[in-house]
Amino acid sequence: MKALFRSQLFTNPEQAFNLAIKRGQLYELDSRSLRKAVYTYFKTGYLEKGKKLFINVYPSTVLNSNFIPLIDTVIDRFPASSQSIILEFVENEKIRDFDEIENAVRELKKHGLGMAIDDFVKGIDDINRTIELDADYIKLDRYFTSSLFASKRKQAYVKFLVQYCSQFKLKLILEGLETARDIDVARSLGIQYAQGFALGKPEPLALIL
Amino acid sequence: MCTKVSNFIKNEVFEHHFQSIVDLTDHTVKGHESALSLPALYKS
Repeated sequence: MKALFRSQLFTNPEQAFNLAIKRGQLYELDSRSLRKAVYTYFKTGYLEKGKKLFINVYPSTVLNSNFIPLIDTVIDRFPASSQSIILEFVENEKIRDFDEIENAVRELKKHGLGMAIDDFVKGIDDINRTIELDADYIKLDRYFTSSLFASKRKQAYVKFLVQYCSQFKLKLILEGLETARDIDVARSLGIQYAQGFALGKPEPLALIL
Repeated sequence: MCTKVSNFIKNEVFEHHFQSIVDLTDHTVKGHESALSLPALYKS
């Protein structure tokens, strides 16, 4: 399950986060968003069924000295969440120091959390991320899904990534599946995990569970 | 504006929607009725 930020005050989540960045309040928004997503989800007891909860996070948030204590608080409240939370590094913030991030990832993994690279290949340092970070998942941007059935180049690239992920025990998730044909194409290329309107729309949790 | 943003964050005037991530090897997940083979995907 993927948690998606929504606010009636903004047309899209990027507006809210960009404003927070301009005001120097990114960490506060990002950390509050994460905490609220986990609490919303876990209060239902759904995490106890062994499902994963994917949540976007900015790399700089993970590096904030208050982040690990926040994760400790979340896990104290919902112990099973430690094996369920997958942090998705958003692509629109460049990672300046991979060693620093890798240390933070190592620490978070000790807490049981998993890591994902979001919206591959929209980010400017995505290739570096797949090589340098000990991620558990790579989420392929919807760019790959669009007209995937007709594009030899996209199919070849996806097949390469399927092979790459298999070799390094990464799980590959294809985003943006909107039709039954997209599902068939994804399967044919060896994609195991997928996300998109064809498989379920983003909705309030009460409407899903 | 600054205060407005601070209040938006502090009061957590946001929520989350949730979207499934699905295992396609689960055969209850439906695609087309006829399975496509990879070569058939290529249109040129």
